[in-house]
Order: sequence, then structure tokens, then C-alpha cells
Amino acid sequence: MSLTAFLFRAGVAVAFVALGGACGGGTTATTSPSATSAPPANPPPRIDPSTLAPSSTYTIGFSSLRENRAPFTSHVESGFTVTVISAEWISLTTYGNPQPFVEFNGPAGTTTTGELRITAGGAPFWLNSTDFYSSTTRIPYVIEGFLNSEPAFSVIDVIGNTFGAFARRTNPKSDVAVQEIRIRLSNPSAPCCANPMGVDNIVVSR
Amino acid sequence: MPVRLLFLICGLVTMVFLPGCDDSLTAPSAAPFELMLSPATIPAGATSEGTVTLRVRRRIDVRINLSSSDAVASVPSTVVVPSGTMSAAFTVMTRLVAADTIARITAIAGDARQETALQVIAPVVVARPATLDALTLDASVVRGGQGVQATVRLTSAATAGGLSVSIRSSNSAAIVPPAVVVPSGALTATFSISTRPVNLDTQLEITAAYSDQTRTVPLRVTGLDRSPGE
Repeated sequence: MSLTAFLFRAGVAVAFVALGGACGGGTTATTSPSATSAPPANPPPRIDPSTLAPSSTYTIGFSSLRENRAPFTSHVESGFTVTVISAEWISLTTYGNPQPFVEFNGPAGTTTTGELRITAGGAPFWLNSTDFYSSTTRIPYVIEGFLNSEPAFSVIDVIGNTFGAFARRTNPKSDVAVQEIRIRLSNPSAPCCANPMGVDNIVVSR
Repeated sequence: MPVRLLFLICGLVTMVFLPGCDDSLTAPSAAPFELMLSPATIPAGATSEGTVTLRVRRRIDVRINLSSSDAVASVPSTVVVPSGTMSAAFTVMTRLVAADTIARITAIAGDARQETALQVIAPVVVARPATLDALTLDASVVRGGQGVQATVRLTSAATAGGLSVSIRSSNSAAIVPPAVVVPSGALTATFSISTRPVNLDTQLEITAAYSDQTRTVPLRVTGLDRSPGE
């Protein structure tokens, strides 16, 4: 067999075998493996909110945060876990109501969504109030509560500009038991300037 | 060498025998697919349908990675255009937010990248006008004849012209101004409470009121023969 013929045959073979990887460039020429999904072995028991009543109140004040401007991803206090869902949050030990508190920065000229989740290890609890902060903007926020993996309530509001002061907002649905709270802040930074926005003193009952 | 030779051979053979196969996904200058959202402006909480459309039909599945710049919108991590087809659809979910937000949806396949904006419109939520938030005293017990400082705080800064909060005392042992004005742009205002000498300890209430909001705090004025805290 001549060298040309050999190269041609080899090329055809290689081309077909390697078509996905070589010719496909950066795309992944594979199909997804079929996923097998089975129902959870022991789904958590449904909670009947009519049988629940709060007995103790706790304030999540982030008091154990010690490092200023350190990345903040999660925090456990009084049996409650605060977890960052979106945006890059940091701890601030030089400010708060009282200090420390947690905040995220919104780049200039955009509206950035920052979101926190609060849980109590699956146990039901109640959200009483939250302190909100923004340096230079109004504070648009949404609070959503979930029980048995279903929406229990949602609250949407906009706090007027507090010029850097903390504004406490009581939860109008503080009588609704939940297993998860989502606090979603919209940080509408002005075109000129980045803006920090954050929360402190998440008051909960259990 | 072997890799370059393989690509060369593959490319030549592909051009000759597989004219439908396009390798433009490897070329950063070309946009081998389009990304569209319909609609591109939606109310918060609604969904939009995204579509990726190849410019050239391919004989392999094409996997395209997706991402969103903001948590207000979420997309599946990938969308696959099946072999032999030109497009695939995916759903963009949005969440309830209280301010209009633009999320940039990005699709990446190899070096090729397409981006488009999704505008998420918040429900009309008007910032509540400032109202009374709290009334605090710097002491809850005072000897008759002495004074106490009080502070009213608003929920947000007072607007132009300031905001007048009315003040009253439940007992004449404490004398308060009829009102205190929080200046425009300020969140708080302080005022002084003077007390009269009393023979017996007197429990009273100081109340601040604005619109439908009232805040009341207790104050105890002690008699002449006692000191606060006794």
C-alpha cells in the first residue's frame, strides 16, 4: 500500500472515530448519560403549622464574625444557619446595629440581587423582623417563607433611603411558621457609585 | 506532531466527505450559534423561553453551557442541540424582586460566546413615605426636677420640609414640647423632657405620634426624698 493510500485510509478512520472531539472543537459531542432518579427513601414528614407555636426568640446578630471584610458564605447562630445564595457577601466588623453585620456590594450603574437563606436544620420557625442597610440607595427587598418545600408567604417592599442607617422591618407574616426564609435584596447602585447593602439582627422565634 | 497531523487529516477528510460538518465552533471570531430570549422583558417571577440556534446543522450533539449574571434569573447549566437539528430551547426562570433588574444570559460553546439581556420588571412597589419608627429615652427613671433626653426615629429620612412628630405626656410631672420636627434628610430628632419635683414616685408615659403611628415609652419620676433606682 502506498503512503498516500495509507494516510487516506487512516485519515478516514480517524476522522470518523474522532469526529466528536476533533471536529467538534470546544463542544462536547457526547450525549448525557441517562439519569436514574428514584424517590427519596424517607421523605421528611409534613409539618402541620396549626400544631406549632413559638417558645423562644433569638436574634441573629452575626456577633461571632471577627474578621473585617472577610468573605461571608454561611453562619450558624442559635441553631439557625444563614447561607449566601447569591452575590458576594462580606462581614463588616466596623459597622452594624451594633457591629458586625453582613453586606454585599453592587457595582455602579447596575441592580444586583443579593440573597440569603435562613434555616433551622429543617425545624419550623418564625421570622419576626430584620434590619436592612444601604449606604446610598433605597432598599427594595423580598422575603419568602417556605414550609414543607412549598411557599408559605412572600413579602415585597421598598424602604426609602436611610442614608446609611439601619431600618428595622417587622415581618407582617411573623405568625406564619416556615422551615426556610429567603431574603432577597435588590441593590440599585447609582451610575456613579458602587453601593454596599446588607442585613443585621434577623429576629426569629422557634 | 500526531495531534496536528490528526487535525489536518480530519479536516481534509471532513471537508471532502462530510460537507455538513462545520468546525466553526472552534473559531472565536465567528458566532456559530445565536441566542435569543422571548420575551426579553418579563415580570419578576415569570419565565422566558431561550433558544440557541446553530448557523450550520451538525451531525453531533452540540452542548452549550448557559449562565446568568444575576440571581434574579436562573437557567439550566447546559442545553443540547441534538445532532441533525438546528436549535434547542430552554427555560429562564425568574424570581420575585422588588427592583427592576437586568440579568445577562450567556451561552458558551468552546471559544464561542453569545450574550443577551433579560430585563426583569419588579411589581410596582413604591417606597413607603417616612413614618414614625421609634421613640427612645436616655433614662427610664429620673428624679423630679431633672431632665431627660428623648429621640424620635423615622423609618426613612424625612422629605423636604421635614416631618413633625407630636409629643405628649400622660402626666403633668413631665413637660414635653407639643411637637418635634425631624429636618429634611434626617432620620432622627431629639428633644428634652423636663420634670417637676414630685412628692411621690410618679409613673407616666411619653407618647410620640405621626399619622397612624404612635410610640409610647414609660418614664418614672421619683419623689424628692428618693434617688432614681432606689
